[in-house]
Amino acid sequence: MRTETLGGPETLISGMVWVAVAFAGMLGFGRCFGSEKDDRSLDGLLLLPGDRSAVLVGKTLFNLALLFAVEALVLPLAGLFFHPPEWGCAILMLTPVLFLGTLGYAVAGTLFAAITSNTRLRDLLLPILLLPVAVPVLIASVEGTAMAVQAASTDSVLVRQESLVSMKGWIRVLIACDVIYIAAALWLFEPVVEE
Amino acid sequence: MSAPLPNNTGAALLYSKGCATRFRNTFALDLAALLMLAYSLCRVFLTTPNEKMQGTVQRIFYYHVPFAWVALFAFFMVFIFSILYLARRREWMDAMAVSNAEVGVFFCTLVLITGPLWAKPVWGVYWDWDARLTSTFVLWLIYLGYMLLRAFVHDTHRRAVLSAAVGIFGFLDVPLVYFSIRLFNTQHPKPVIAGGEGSGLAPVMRNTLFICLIAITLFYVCLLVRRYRLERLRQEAETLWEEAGA
Repeated sequence: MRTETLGGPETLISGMVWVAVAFAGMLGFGRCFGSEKDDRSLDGLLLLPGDRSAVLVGKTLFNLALLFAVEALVLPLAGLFFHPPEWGCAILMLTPVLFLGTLGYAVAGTLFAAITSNTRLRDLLLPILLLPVAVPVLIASVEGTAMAVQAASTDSVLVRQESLVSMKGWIRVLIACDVIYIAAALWLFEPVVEE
Repeated sequence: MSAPLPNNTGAALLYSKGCATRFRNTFALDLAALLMLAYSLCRVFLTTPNEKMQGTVQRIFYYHVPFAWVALFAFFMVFIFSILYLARRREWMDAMAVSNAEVGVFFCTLVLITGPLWAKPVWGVYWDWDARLTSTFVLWLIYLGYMLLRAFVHDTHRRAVLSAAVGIFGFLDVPLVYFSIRLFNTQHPKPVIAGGEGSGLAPVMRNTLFICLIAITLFYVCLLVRRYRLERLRQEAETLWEEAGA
């Protein structure tokens, strides 16, 4: 599976796209709790009536929007610079991978931003803690994206079918990651932000 | 920070407190670990025959596998004591979690050193981005991050809660890391114990492996007890500092 795509334009493009997303996330996630801590406004948010996990959900949605904006910019640019065949079709096909991968990364990123916002050197600690944890999401996203691009750009029916089957496998991994991350984040957020 | 305590009174106070004295007498345990380690060395290097295909290099296996098992067990203990801490909030649970994390990182480092030493003659390369290798490496990074995080949080209680969150999330991540990389690429040898058809060890080798496992587990307990005791003393010292400051 790996040798087929290794070094091909598919791996290159999916790698480029996800490097951009991963870096944007690392820089962006820290901000969403950093400014709250600096202004002590997180205390106010936590005093609001209602479930505290709402704060986590809100922050995650913000981070998701941020990453989707980055992707909306990066994907057309990737098409412009690497001009893969049938790029529009590929973007459509990789939408589920893109969505699930970004969701898992944003959930983990938001939780770890909440954790590291309590520390000195938080901007340094966030990527150190987040990247190893986000490894499964990033691998599955990169591989799933590569498979989608391959399926869209190939002429052979056989290769397309194989790529689609393999993409579905990666989508399953992403769903498993997302479910576990969301459950763990909802559970752990409360103790992390309590005073 | 407050004025320093007079010399020695702090230490005297610490030893007068109950929990610090627990596990003080571990002589029998240390002796057992030492004897088992010596016996396992004798078995590995003297009485167990050479492996047919790999030759003498294969002997690393008898320590490599127990290191890996113990490291994984220690990380599992971090997970358990992190959950316990979040549920019950007792200081000793946090001490247990951090002790297991540090000892686990130590054994994980040994796994990452002994593995490449074996792989170079057998695979021809020191390292390959294979499922087990990569997931062990990622595991090592996660728990190094855990220790780093603890170094940058001042408040005892916050430090315990935040590191418990990382300990839980990190361990839940382990199977995901493993399966995602396994789907990606694998070349590590299949498990030889309970690995299914066509796997298995000669009885003499299996016995040596189990003796090494017992020896390394005892060694792990020795290290853990010492690290735990140190952490309890540290916690008491912090409490005393706070009392002295108040």
